[in-house]
Amino acid sequence: MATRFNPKPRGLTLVEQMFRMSTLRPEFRVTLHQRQRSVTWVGKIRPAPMSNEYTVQVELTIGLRPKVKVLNPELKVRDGATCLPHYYPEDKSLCLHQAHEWNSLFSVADCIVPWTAFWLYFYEVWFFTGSWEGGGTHPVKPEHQAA
Amino acid sequence: MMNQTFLETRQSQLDDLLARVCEELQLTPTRYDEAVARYEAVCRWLDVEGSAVASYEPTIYPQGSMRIGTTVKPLGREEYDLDFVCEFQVPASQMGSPLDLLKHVAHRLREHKVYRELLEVKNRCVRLNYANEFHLDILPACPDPKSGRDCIVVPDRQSQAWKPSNPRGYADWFEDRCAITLFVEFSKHAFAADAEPIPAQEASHEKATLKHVVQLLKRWRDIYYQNRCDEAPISMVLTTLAAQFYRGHASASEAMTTILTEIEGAINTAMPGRIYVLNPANPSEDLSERWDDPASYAAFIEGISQLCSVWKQLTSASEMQKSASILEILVGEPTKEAVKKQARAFQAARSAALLKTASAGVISTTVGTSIRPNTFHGD
Repeated sequence: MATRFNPKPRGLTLVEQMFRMSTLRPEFRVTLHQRQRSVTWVGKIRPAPMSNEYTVQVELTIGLRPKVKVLNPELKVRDGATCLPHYYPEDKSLCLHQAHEWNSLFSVADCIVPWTAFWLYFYEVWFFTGSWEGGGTHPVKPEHQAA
Repeated sequence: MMNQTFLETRQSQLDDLLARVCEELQLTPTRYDEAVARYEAVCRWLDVEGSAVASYEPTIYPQGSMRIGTTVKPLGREEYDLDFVCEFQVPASQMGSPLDLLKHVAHRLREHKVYRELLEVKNRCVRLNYANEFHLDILPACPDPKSGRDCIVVPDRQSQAWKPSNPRGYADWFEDRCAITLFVEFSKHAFAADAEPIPAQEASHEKATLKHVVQLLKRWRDIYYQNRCDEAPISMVLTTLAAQFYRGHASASEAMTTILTEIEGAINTAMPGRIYVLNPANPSEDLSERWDDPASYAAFIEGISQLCSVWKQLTSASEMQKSASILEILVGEPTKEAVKKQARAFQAARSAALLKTASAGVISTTVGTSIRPNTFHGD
């Protein structure tokens, strides 16, 4: 038995992700599509008590990094800035983490959702003050997509 | 100040922001120490052997906002106004003219090669202008024991007469307002929960709440009456009103809401007359005497009514952008710094993995499961 044990852990299945999400964030609406290879959740996040409430969409496709988009209210670039910080303008998704910080063993509900809340909190602070206080790194090429 | 529980409710987050605004407004600890060192040096210079005023045994002590901890950065300039009383141990009756006192102090300070350059004689005080730091206003005074404990008289150049004052009595009253209301608040709890005696640091935290409200009111006043300073209510009036109507709330936003409601109530009750703000340390002194001028009182009512409506918007807004912008209207540029510093505290808590996500998905410092570290990436 012991010799047949596979030390390489398998990632969470979409069903496991959905189950965890429905436990932690039951108010998120879930849609499973593309022959069950991807799932999207749409729900609301208020990052801090004084913050706006944002409707966000989290999309998870097996084998890819989760993508988070803010549906409402629309994210805005503040006066004097040319773009949003830590943001992929190509697909309008948020840059929440470095490649090594996410793998398919982690649950979207436990990581991606609170990371999104952090991002939104720092976005609001940035929009008001012009200063991104959330830390982070910048890629060498702005058009990078890997994660 | 660095209380992480600001994440829990709208009120706690707003209170944290207000506390940070007040921190931006007040003298930094370094500046405070500098001011103390400067006034001690002045005191030594006045008191040193051979000084013409040494025989009067002058003692110097802070008064006003410096004494009660409600200093507010002035608008559009660097220098704080810090008031000190220089009390001579000589009865006023032995001084001849009230102006002699101002002359004595000014004369002695002119003998000092640095003070000479900084000196300016004002109506009731001798001012030392430390550019980019502060104005040290030294109010010469004589004791006036007949009028009560800690009472003094100060010379008034305009009227060439003595004016009664009691800065120490006022400060004691102000500190008492915090302590007494706190005691009432706690004794209510004591019946319910058999509470422990109030711990010292709790008491100082409670005191700070009223001081924060006073700082915020003064700052609002500076901004609102920016272009018509002569109509602005004086600091003593705002401080006294706030202290009178303070009910012991630990939350600065709740305390402000209550105080504003009470001020509006008092204005309505006094109609068609005006409200009188008397010096609690000397009730024969009407601090609000300027309101004998109806235009000045009208300006106060108009200001308070504007403040009440903006304050309501602030406490009910449900968008960060809106709340922060409203706060900026009320207290000006320290708002941005306060928002940044709150974000830094949030970020510090996040870096220390103190933040958790609870079952409802709310970020919290107290309940829920810890959140994995992440690093925002990309431009």
